[in-house]
Amino acid sequence: MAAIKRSQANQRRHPDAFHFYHHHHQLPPPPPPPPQQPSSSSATSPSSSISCVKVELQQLILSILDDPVVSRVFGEAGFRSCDVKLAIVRPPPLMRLQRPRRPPMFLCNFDETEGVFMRRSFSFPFAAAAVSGTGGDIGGENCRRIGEIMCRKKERNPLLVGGLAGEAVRGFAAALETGVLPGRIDEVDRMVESCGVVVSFGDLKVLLVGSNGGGGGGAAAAAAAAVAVMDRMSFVVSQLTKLLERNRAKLWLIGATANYEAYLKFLNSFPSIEKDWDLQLLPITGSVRSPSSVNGGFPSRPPSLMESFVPFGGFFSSPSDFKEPFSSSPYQSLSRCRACNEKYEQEVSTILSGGCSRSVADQYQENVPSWLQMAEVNANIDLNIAKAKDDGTVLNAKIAGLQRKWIDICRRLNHRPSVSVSEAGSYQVRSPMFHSTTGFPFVVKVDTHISSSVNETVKGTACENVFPIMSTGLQKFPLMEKEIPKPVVSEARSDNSASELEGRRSKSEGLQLQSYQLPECSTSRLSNPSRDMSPSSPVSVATDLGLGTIYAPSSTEELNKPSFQGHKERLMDISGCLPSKVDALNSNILNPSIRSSSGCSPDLSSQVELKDFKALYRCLVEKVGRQNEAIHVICQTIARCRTGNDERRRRPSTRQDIWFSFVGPDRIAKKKIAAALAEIIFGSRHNLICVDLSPQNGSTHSNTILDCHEISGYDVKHRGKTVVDIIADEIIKKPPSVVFLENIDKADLLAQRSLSQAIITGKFQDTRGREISINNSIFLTTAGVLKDNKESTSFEKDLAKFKEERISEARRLEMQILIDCIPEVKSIGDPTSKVRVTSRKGSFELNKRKRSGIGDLEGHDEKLEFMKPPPKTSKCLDLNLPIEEMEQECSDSKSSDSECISENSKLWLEDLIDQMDGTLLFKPFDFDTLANNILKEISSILISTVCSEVLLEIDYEVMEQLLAAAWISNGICAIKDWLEHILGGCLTEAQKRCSLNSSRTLLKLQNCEGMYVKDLALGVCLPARIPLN
Amino acid sequence: MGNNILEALNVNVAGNGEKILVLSHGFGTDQSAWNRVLPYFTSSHRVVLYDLVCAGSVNPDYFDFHRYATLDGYVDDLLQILDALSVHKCAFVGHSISAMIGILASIRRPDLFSKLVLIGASPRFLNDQDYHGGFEQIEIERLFTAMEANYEAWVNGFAPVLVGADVPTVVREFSRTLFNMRPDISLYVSRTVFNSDLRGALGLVKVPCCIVQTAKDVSVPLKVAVYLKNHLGGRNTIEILHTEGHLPHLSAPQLLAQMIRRALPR
Repeated sequence: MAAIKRSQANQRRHPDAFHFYHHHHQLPPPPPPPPQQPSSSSATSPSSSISCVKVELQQLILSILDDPVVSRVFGEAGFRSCDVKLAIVRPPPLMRLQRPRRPPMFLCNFDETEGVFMRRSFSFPFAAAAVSGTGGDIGGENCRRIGEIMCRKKERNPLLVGGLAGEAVRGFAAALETGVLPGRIDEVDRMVESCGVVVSFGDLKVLLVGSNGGGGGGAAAAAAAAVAVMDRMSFVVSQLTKLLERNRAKLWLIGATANYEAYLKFLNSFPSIEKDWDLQLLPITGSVRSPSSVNGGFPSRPPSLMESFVPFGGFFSSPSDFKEPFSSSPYQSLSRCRACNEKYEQEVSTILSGGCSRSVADQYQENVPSWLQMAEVNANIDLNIAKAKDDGTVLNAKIAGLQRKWIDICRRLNHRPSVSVSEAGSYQVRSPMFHSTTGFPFVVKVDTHISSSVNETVKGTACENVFPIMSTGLQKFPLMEKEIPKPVVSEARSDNSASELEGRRSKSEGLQLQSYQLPECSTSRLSNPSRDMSPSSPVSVATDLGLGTIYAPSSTEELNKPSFQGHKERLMDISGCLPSKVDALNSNILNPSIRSSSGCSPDLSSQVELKDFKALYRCLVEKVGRQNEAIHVICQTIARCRTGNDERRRRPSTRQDIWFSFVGPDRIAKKKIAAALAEIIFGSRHNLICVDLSPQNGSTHSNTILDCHEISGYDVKHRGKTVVDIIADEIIKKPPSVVFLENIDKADLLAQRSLSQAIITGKFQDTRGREISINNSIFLTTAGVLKDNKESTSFEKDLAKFKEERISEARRLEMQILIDCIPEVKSIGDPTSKVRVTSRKGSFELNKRKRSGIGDLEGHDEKLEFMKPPPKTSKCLDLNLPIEEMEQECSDSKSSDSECISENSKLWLEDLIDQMDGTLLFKPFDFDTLANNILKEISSILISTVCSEVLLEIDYEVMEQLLAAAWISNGICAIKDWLEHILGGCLTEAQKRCSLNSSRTLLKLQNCEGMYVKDLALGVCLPARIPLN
Repeated sequence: MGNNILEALNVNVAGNGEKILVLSHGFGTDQSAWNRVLPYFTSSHRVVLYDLVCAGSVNPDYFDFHRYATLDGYVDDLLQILDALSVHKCAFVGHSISAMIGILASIRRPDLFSKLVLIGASPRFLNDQDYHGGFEQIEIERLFTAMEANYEAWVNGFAPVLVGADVPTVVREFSRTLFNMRPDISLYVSRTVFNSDLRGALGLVKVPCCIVQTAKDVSVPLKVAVYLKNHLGGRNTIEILHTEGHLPHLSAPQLLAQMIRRALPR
């Protein structure tokens, strides 16, 4: 099955190959699989024809061969599945259709012409890869990039950054073979005169130990030594700088540092070092060898896969249209004979940059087209030396020399004779890559020279002959055998007369000094004393802290923001929200006409109801119980719209959708109206669609009382969908419906677009472009408090003791009663009131302390801050901030959220509301009266259950919970029951438990922080029992 | 030139804005992963979409096992694409492996990027002495063995874990794209990713970064986001998305899109 799917995918990628499928289709199961093919594959392939999956057989077989298990079996049998695949894919082109059942070919039955053909059109990069073995991959990549930097004119001394940078330097040195450094700077100096040298100053760490010792040294005794070390360090650095200045053309520095911080410290000690040393930072990310890797070397592909998954260039397409997009990369390097190529590239580009004023980087862009042309020509004509001659340039001589040297290197490098042929072949094929690398047309020619020469197995001329030609590149050859004389190419820009002797001399020097690495050994010696006394870690820690605190304000802001948004009202579904009890209570008062209407089909009932404005109004008022003015407007508008005599409507009368905008507080009333409308007009609460457009309707569970009736599973159902799609899906599911959209002021761009379109055209478009008719639907939208409205209500708000913002955040916490004594002195202020509510001020102060505690922690340990589930953290913050501050922060975060968007969306919102049929202003819900009523109720319960001398103190937050519960149900009557039975029962128990006849007893009703209610009391969103502590 | 790579990697440019936004998908997906995020940006940005060479939608022949031995190969691709489109400045949104690619690209060409948004990024997946990347070497090896043994079974087990399991459509979608990858390439890429270690180089990044992390991500612990924030060299912010899973652009596109929109101008 896996194979089938894969082959389908493959087929999709190659539509051009697909027409063959029709020819193959009618054939019985696949061409006989090779005898070694395991049963699994042969079992799979017939199944494909049975189940009628459209898979080209060829592709299927290839995919089967792709399977690691299959290829392993093949491998054990001595066949490389790549060969098998090749054979399957590459039957002679003309015969493909005539002999579709042609037996697969294996290497053994390749005929020669075909082999040549293959070689010409495909590269065999991975044959070479196998030769170079594992571990070569990443090291090669790193070396290549180091080389690239060194070839530049500016910033050409690489400083490798990364945990494995040191390893990379060593790898590079190994690749150079002669990257071995003399012991003393003056010797280097002398040496440099004769040839180019790469000086590795090792790990910056060793230079740093000295400076650290000077800076943060702990022990007094060591301080002096540290200073001395510091001096010597700066001496080394200055010496190196001088050296570099004297020999800018021929000397390269290379170094490594484990992390950027270390480099920064180094920079601190030697501020101008970057310029002096002409450094270029180079991040090293791949590990040549992962420290604890089971596989040892770079675990590229496991050996079992190594042979089986050899992708052949142009495998599935015909040779002519095979493109090598990546070979065009200016960053591309050859994939085999890595060291050689690298050197070659470097040298060529050095020559080129020497002979040409343009920088290599510039030429990447400019020259790519030209090489492309060249590449094509080249591919066709292949080894056409004459062609190459056409492009003769001034550099011909140099390049010829380069070529010879190149051949020589290759000959030596190909220590496995068996490979050399294929490598030679691949040189031909891959030649375009050279062009890409260097971006020079004439490189093409060079390359063909090389490959042709290799083919002819021309022995390179003696190394010495090559020397004069080379200019300043990295002139140490990567030789495999040390005893082979190292060809050290002397510097000779454009004259070919550099002496052989000189070359020899420098070579011998190189051999002499092979085992010394100047900076490394000297600095490590120097730093020894200071190493143990001043480890570098404290310093780095300090740096980290500094980095962390610089942006601390912004980070905390970031953190808080999402959580604030998490507070914003969440989607609520009224249909599940109205307690069944209320419903039962109401049902007997219900207007008979409504009862009948719910039995009728929605259409009919709506016709009946809508024309009867008064009946509608009465029903709504019954159901909602407040906001009568708003309800009045709704009913008027609906009646007006439905009867079709609305002169103010801008939409054609055929459109039956009605749009409302709800403005103002009392969110619960809005929901109730929506639910009631759905029930009255469309016959069922299920025709209500509730969607919150604010972006944070994600998967957080806020545990507020308001949310407790929300349909569970909402998140799961809608995760991964955009709001627009959710709305669209719901409208499709329940065609005539009330769509209740909350927070449209926070709608995202898509929702804005869809809504604008919907109100104009009557069609709601989802993200896939599907349009859904919204005819007959009623859209109710709520926006956050609008500007002008806010001002009018703010006065009342400030006076009110309980506010909607806070109450809608009230959490469903467990409650408990604590029994306490009243301190003698602090007698009850008002002896008549037995029940009191703690002031918010007090609770605020208490929380303030808590908060500052948290704040401190956060300051010290950011992790703690992060590990906390953000919504909860923020909830605490909210509760503890005074309203003004909270609002400020809210609006702050809002404004910073969407500076650019907010303007647009404000305009959009105004525009949308303009087009709506009615705007309803809601009055704030009077929580204070409700609170007084509740207190009265509790106090009467207290008097009736407990003796008179007992005080009950209700925590402010508990009070908020009670209010919230009463708010979402219908006023105090809803929680009366709860008060009587559950609270009353608890009080009775309290009396039983303790002797509550002393006047000093104080009962405290508190909530339990962090414990959310599990068992809800019947009908209200309050705990089913209150434990006594 | 450039057309070649543009074709091979299915480069698409959508939208009409002045600013350029690059969306780069992560391991196991292709550019279709951005489909649901894309509409939020087309009105304000020119959005560049492309497939990583390892994606199932790219001809596997283009996957050069040497070139892509380190992440630098991918970085080359990205830079090449941007050059070919003659992009001079862009914001970059990268997910998982692409976040790493973005980091490296911005080191190499700091002037090219105005902002990096790194989703589910990790500079190093393996644990170290004082670094918690979330994976032990043994776990990784086990993972590789599982991939090697039965790719399909692995995909079917791996996809739900990574996505967060409760969004069946997304799991299906992710499984599909993951399965489209050829197993050997998939394995090879994961090895490359797990062997990469960007920690040392983070300080070189000077471009402001926004690190996006979901509240629960099996492959990237929250600590990693903090580490990134503290070590990246530019001005950095962390955004925690209140959703789960490693693929917020699939599982919570709206949330993510809003967040990116907010993050981009800063």
